[in-house]
Order: sequence, then C-alpha cells, then structure tokens
Amino acid sequence: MGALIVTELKLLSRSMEFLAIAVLFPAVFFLIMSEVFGGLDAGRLDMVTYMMISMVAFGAISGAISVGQRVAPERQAGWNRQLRLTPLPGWSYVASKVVVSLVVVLPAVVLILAAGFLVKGVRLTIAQWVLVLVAAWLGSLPFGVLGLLIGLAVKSDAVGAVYVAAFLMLALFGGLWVPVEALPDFMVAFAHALPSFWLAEQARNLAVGGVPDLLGVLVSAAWFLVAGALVVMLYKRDTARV
Amino acid sequence: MSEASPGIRSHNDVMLTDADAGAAVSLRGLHKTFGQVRAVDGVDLLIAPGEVVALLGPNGAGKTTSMEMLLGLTTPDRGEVRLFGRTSARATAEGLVGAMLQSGGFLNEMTGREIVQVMAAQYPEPLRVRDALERAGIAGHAGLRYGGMSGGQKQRVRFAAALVCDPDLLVLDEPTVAMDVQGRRDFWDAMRAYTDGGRTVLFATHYLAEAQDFADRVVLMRAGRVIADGSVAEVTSRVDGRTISAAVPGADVAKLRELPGVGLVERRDELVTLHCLDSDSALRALLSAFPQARDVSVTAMSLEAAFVALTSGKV
Repeated sequence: MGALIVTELKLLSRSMEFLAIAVLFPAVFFLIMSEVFGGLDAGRLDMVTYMMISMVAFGAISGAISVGQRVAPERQAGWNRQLRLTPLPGWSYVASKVVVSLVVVLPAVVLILAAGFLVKGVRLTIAQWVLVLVAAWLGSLPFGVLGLLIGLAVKSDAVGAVYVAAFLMLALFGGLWVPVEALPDFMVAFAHALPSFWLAEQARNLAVGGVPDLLGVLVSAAWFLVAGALVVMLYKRDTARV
Repeated sequence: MSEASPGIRSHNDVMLTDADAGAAVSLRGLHKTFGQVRAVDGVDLLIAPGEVVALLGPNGAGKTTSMEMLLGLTTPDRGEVRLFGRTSARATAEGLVGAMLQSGGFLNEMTGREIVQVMAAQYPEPLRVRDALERAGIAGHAGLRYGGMSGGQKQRVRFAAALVCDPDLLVLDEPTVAMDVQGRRDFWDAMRAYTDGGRTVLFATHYLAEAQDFADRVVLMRAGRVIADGSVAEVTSRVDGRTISAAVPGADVAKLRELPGVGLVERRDELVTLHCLDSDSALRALLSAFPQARDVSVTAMSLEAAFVALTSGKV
C-alpha cells in the first residue's frame, strides 16, 4: 500500500496541470471572489472569512474528488486488473487512494488560508486556524471516496461529466456558493444531509469559536463508510473487460 | 522437470492426497456465459507441477476467459478452480501465481522500473526488482516511460511484472504478441531459464511453432471446450489434417460440429467443409446423420494448415 501511495504521488507531482487545478486554482478563485463580493454582510462571520471557508470547502472537495476519479483512466489502462492479480486487498487499494487525496487536499487548503491571512487580512486565533484546517482536511475524506466511486461505477467516457455534475451539485446544494440561509426550507434540510454542507459548516463553527456539530460528524462519516463499502465491492467485482 | 532444484523456493510443500489438490492447476467443469455467448462450456484441466502447457485455439475459443477464471478475475457460472490445492484468491495472496494478461496494463506515465517496483511491493517474498528486469530482458530500458515503449518492450515489462513475485505458476495470455522474431526468441529463452527451475507455466498462443518448441503439452480449445489434450506429438497425431467437403442440403452447422472427429466447420450455402481431427469417423457420421449429402470429397492438407484451420479459423 505504501508503494502505491508513493507511486501515485510521484505521478501527480509530474503532472503540472493536475497540481495547478487541484492545488492552485481554489486559492486564485478565492482571491477573485472575495474581491468581488467581499463587502457584503454574511451574518455571524464577515464576508471575506465566510468566503474563505467556502473556498476551503470547495478546494478540499475538488481536490479529493479529482484524485478519486483518476481511477477511470487507470481502469481503462488495465491497471486495476493488474493490481487484482496481486495480493493487494480491496480495502488497501481504497485506503491508498484516500491517503493520496488527503495529501493533495492539504496544500490546497493551506494555500487558501494563507491567502486569507496574508492578502485579505483575515484574523483568527492560532487555535481557530488549526481547527479550520483540520475540519476541512478531515471533512474532505468522503469526497476522495466519492470520486473513486464515480471512477469505478461510471463508464470511462462519461466519468468527466458525472464528476462535474456531482461536484456542482454538492457545492450548490451544500451552500458553498449561495449561503444556506438564503435557500428555501426544503433545501436547507437537504443541505444538512450533504457532506459538503457539513465540511463548510464545521469549519465556520470552529472559526467563530464554536464546537463541531455531532450530526455533521455522523453525516460525513456515513457518506465515507457507505461510499467506501461500495468502492471495495466495485473494485472486487470490476472484472468486465474495459 | 517436475523436481524443484535445490535453492529454489517452493510453496508446494503441503502434502495432499487428492490428485486435484496435488496439481498445480485443477479446473473442474468450468462454465461461463456472457449474455447469449457460452464463452467456456465445460472445461476440465489438470496440470501437474512443473508442466509447461500451451493453450491453443482461435479467438473466441474461451482461452482468455478460462485463464481469467483460473486467476479469480472472473467468477465461473459453474465449476471449480484450485491452484496448488488452494482457491485462486489464496494462491494469489501467497504469491504463488504470476500472470500476464491481455487486458491487464500499466500506466503510461510510469517507468518500467517503477511498474515492477510497485508490483514487487505487493508480495511477501518478491525477487529483487533488478533481477526481474534482467530476466525479462528489459533492464537496459527500465528507465523509459511505459507509454513511450515499443510493443515488444511493453511485453517485457509485463513479463518482469509477472515474474517479480517469484511465482510457482505463470499464466501468460499470448505473451509474444507484438514481438518481432528476435524478441520472441529472447522471450522464450528467458522463459526456458525460468522453467528449468521446475515452475509450472500455462500460456495461450496462436502459434503452433511456439507450442511445439516450448510446451510439454498442448491443450486445444474451440468454442469453449477442450477438443484435444496431450503431448505435442499426441495432439499432432490426432489431427489427421484431412478435410471433408460435401454438398449437404439443410445442413445445420451446430449439428455438423457435434459429429465425432470434426474440428472446424465452414459453410457456404449447401457446401460444407469439415476440418477433421479424424476424417474416417467424421465421414461415417456425416453420411449416417445427413444421408442427403452428395459430392463428397476428402482431401489431405499439411499439418500446419490443419492446425491453422483448427486454431485460427473462424468458428
């Protein structure tokens, strides 16, 4: 499993396109968006901090999903079948992908937080910065697995489209673009069932000195476990010649 | 050949009384259907440790599917697979099996060495990566990206990846496809060095010459079944290389194929051509099953031509 993780990180580090989009893009996006909408009022948080956290969630989600969906070209190449000929257990394959997604997400999140502090003058206590970072990082766990699920479940020519659709829906309905407070009631209820909402919500709670919401932890853990179980199952059953 | 030489690691040290359990490979009554297609239709195969077996047959004969069931990549509808008395999953987990499949592949961005390193890392007692690369004859080009390699170089990387677990059983699906003549020769030299240690090899091929030169035993498959199984000499002697041509009104290809001694059936309108394993039996059976057959002729052809007809013709 260690060798798989090292190999994948090595491959990713050779792909400038991937790094630019997964790591750099969310920070750039944050700087532009906060410039445009920074003056608006966002309730308990000032708008810039609010947007910083939304973008942290956005970056964590897109980074984690994009690692997971890389499984589609790997399947196409026959790499999965090759691995299935080795003793590597299914859960270990999933775990290696999740670890890689965590490694990719970390710099993306740190970069946005750094931009918030250095460029936009966001001020939190050290403990709050760390808690926001940890919340975003751990909150990204379900998305790495969701990306894998898409990569394994969807035919490779449709993966790109399904990935974008899933990502946009999670972002939109999770309140990353439009604050959840501005959504109608039934959509607020729906948002509470999404790991994307909770990723940002936990980070916002922590940024104002609150504590993590237990319901949120449970929802995110449930997404992670259910998607993970499905991925292990699909990995084992993925025997169709692609 | 079946004795492991001293110093060679053998996993097959469990004493088992059952013949199946002692075999390197035991396939019993394997069936697999994909939709309407019976890919594998009742395959039984026992391979003793140390045997080198060639699986010959046309495309669609069920070679690949049989190999995939053997390796546990495809679940049979019916039948049982045992490798060294274990399930395929168990044998794989113990590092007893190395395989080179047509559908398996590697990432273009990885170098040959990285590929073999990752594979080696999955096994309990792998060979040194350098040794595997050398045995497969790719050590000199192991720094190239897989995507930039020639077909022959890719095959060698795949071979090194199959070897690196130091397996007791190697399963190879058309290993020399995309190799030139020299590459093929080098490949089989490397393979011979490997099997001199007493390992078991099952390989699928289209080339009769490869089977003749390299295999102890030939298994001929067609339409999901084993139609001949024995030493190269036995199987070639069973293919008498004769063809029966006849006009058979209302001929039923499926029925013709069931006739004893018949290998491959071709039909154009009324005119049928039967490539025979045993033309005498086939002729008797043809005339009694289809009394309306006329213009019957029996012609001889070369052994190579007969094999080509039986193994690479359309089914």
